[in-house]
Amino acid sequence: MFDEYQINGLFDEMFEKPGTPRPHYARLHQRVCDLGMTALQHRSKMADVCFRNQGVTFTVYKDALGVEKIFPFDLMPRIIPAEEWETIEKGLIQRLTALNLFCHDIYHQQHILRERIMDPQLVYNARMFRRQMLGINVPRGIYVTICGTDLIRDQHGEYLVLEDNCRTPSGVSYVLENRAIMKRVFPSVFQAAHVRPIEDYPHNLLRCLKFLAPHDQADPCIVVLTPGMHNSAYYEHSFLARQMGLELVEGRDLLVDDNYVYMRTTAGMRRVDVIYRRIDDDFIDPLCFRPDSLLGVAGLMNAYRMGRVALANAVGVGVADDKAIYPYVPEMIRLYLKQEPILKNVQTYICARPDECAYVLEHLHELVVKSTNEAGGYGMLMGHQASQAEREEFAVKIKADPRNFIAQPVIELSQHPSMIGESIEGRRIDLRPYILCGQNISVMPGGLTRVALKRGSLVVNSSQGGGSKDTWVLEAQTS
Amino acid sequence: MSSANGNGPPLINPSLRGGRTLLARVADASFWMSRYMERAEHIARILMISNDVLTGTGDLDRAFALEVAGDVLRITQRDHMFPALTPAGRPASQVMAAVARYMTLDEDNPNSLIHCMAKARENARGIRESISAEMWEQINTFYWSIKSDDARARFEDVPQEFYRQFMMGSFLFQGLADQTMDHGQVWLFIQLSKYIERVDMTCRILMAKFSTLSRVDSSLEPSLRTIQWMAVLRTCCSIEAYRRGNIGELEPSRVANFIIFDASFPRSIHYCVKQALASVDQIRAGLSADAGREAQRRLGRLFAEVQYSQIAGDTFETLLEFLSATRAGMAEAAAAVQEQWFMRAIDPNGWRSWSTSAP
Repeated sequence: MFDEYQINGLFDEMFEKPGTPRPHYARLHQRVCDLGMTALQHRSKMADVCFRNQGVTFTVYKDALGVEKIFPFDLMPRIIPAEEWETIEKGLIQRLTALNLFCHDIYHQQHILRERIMDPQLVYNARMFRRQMLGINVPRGIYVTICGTDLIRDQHGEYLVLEDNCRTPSGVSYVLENRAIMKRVFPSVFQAAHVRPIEDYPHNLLRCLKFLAPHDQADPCIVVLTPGMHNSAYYEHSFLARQMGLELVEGRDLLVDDNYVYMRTTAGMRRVDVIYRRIDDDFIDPLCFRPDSLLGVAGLMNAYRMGRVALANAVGVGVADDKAIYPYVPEMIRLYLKQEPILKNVQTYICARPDECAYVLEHLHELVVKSTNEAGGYGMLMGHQASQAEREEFAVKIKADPRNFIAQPVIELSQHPSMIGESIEGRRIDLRPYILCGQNISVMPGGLTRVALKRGSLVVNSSQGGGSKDTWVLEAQTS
Repeated sequence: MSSANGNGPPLINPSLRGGRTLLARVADASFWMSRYMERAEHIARILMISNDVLTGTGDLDRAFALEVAGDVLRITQRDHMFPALTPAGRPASQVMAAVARYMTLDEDNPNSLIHCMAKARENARGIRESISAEMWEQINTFYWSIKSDDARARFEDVPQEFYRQFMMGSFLFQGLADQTMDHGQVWLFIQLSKYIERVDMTCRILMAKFSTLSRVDSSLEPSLRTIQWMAVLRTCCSIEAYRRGNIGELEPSRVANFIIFDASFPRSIHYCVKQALASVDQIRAGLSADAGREAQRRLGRLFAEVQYSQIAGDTFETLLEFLSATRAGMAEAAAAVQEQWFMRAIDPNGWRSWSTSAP
C-alpha cells in the first residue's frame, strides 16, 4: 500500500520516516492497509457520486455563466492531535481579537497610525479601506464575525499563518459535507478515532448573527444575502441558509425604505434586522460603491450607518485582508493585547517599501509574489517555477504599482498521503480553520484542509485544481 | 411613505414579525420548477403514445403518420417546425422519429424535454434551501442522468424507456414533495402550478386531438378508430379510470366528458381546477394581506364554469369553444398569481429613486 510512498524530504503529516506512521496516524494507517486499494477506490467513487447527486459544487468562471464543478474530495483524512490543536486554537482566538480591535481602531482613533507602527499611506491606499466607515459604530463593536485564517506548515512542521480572510471566507460547507460523507463511507474508522464533532457550526454561526441584531429584538429577522446562483460559492450560501433555517435572499429581494431594510414576501414587505452577506463591499450598495452593481441593495449603507440593520461581516473589514497589512498583525497583537503572537506569520516583503521592493526584484526566482488584493490563487507568481519571461513580465507589473504587491519566500508546505488514481502519493496541504466571533470567540475544531492534487504544486485553491479532505481534530485523552 | 412610480404605497406589512414568510422570488421559482416538471411529464407521455401508435400502424399510411406527428407539434406549440421536420421524401417511419428527436434532446427547443428539465432544475437550484434535500437530489440526479454522455444513445436505443423515466421522474418529484417537505406556502405553490399546467396541457391535447380526429374520424377503419380514441385517453393518462366507468363504450363524447368533467379523477379538468382553487384559498388563508384575491376570483369563476357546464349538442365546435375558454381562464388566473404574489411588477429603479431622498 505505502511501499512506493515518497516523503520527498518534506514534512509529512502521516509519516515520521518511511514506513513509520506518527502515533496519531497509526490506527488510520493500519486500517487503510487492511482495506486495500480496491476497497478504498470503491469508497472514493461512492463519495464522488454522493457529491455530484447532492449538487455539492462550485463554479469556475470560464465563460459568461461559468461551469459547475465538484470540489475533488480526497478520502484520506488529515489528523491533528489534541495538544497541537490547543495551540492553534489559542493563536487563532488571539489573532481574531486583535483583528477586530484593529478594524475598530482604523475606523476610529487610529492609534496604530498615531503611534507610527504603521505607515498611514499603507492603510489609505488599501483598496479595501472604506472611508465611508470612518466614525461609524458597528453593532456590538464586532467587525469580523466570521474569519477563515489560512495556516500552512513549513518543512519543520511549524504552523504559520499565510493569510486572514476577513471578508467572506468560503469553504465551510465543504467541511461539513466532507465530514458527513466521511462518516457515511468510513464509519468504522471514524468511530474508532474519537474525532471532535463540527456539526454544531451552523448553530454557532446563527447565534453570532443573532447577537448582532439591533436593539433587543426577541425574534430578529436574519437573512443570508447571496449574489445569486452563478456565484462560485452559491452552493455554500444555500447550504448555510438551509442549515440555519434562514431565508436566502438576493439583492433584488431586498429594498430600503425610510432607512429600514425589507424583503419582498408573498405577504408584503418584511423588515430585515441582520444580513449575513456573501457579497463584497464593492457590490453591496450601488448608491455608495459601484453604481453598476445589480447584486446589491440601493440605500443599504444608509440603513447600516443608522444602525437599523446589521451586516456580517462589517463593511470595510477588507482592509485587514490586504496582504501588505497582514505583516503587521503581530504588531497589532502587541499593541492592542500586550501579548506576544502565538502563531507566526510568514516572512513578507512589502513592495511599497523601496528597499524591500529592490530586494524582491533581485530575488524573484526564489520568492512567491502575490497581488495584495487578489484571492483564489489568481494574480500570483511562483518565482522558482516561473520562466524567465514570466518573471520579467511580473517585474514590470511590480515596478508599475509596488503598493499592489508583496513577496514571501517559498515555503515547502507539508505533504499528506492522498489518493491519486490507483496509488497513494504525497501532496501539499494547507488548513483553513473557521473562527466565529459573537459573545465570545470560538474556533471550529478542524476546518478545511485543501490539497494541491497536482504533483509538486504548492497552490491548493479550488480554482487552481485543488481538492479537499476531512480534517480530524482528536479529543484530548482523559486518562 | 411615498412612491415615485405612482403605483400607490408599497405593501409594508408590520405584522410580519416572527413566524414564517415566503420570499416572492422563492414562490416564483417553486411555481416554475413544478410547472416545468409537470410539462415534461405531459410531453414525455405525448411522445410515448404517439410513438407507440405509429409503431403499430404508421408504416401503413404516411398521411396518418403526418397527422400524428403534426399533433405533437401543435400541442407543444412548435407547429412552425412541421415543414422542416417532415420534408417530402422522408418515409413515414422516419417522420415521428425526427419530431421525437426534436422534442426530446434539442436544447434550442423551449418545449423539449431536456429544456424543461434544465429549467426545472435551474429553478430548484435557486431555492434549494426552501425545498427538501430529497427533492433537490432527485431533480439534480435526474438532470445529470439526461445530460450524461450516453443519454442520446439511450434515447435512440429505446425511446419508450427514456420517456418512461421522465414520467416516473415527475411522479417521484411530486411524491417527494408530498412526503418530505412542509405543506406550507412553497408546497402550495408547487401544487397550484402543477394543476395549472395540467389543465393547460390537457386542454391543448384535447383540442389538437379532437380537431384532427373530427376531420378523419369517418374515414378511419374501425380498429384504427378505436386505437385513436384510446390514444387520446392514454395521452391524458386516463384510460384505466375511463374504462372502469364506461364499460365497453368508446365514444368521443364520453371520452371528452370524462376527461373534462369527472369529479374525482386527478387528471380531469374539473378536479385540477378545483385543486388549483383550493391551493389559492390556502395560500391566502396563510397570509394576512389582501394579495391573491384576483387569482382566487378568476379560479372560482372558472371552477363554476366547469362544475355547472355541459357540452351541449355533442358537436366538436362547442367542445373546442369550451376548451379554448377554459384555457384562457386558466391563463388569466396564472397571470394574476404571478402579478400579485411574485411582485414582479415592482420596479427596483422606482424604489431606488425615492429611497435616496430619505434623510
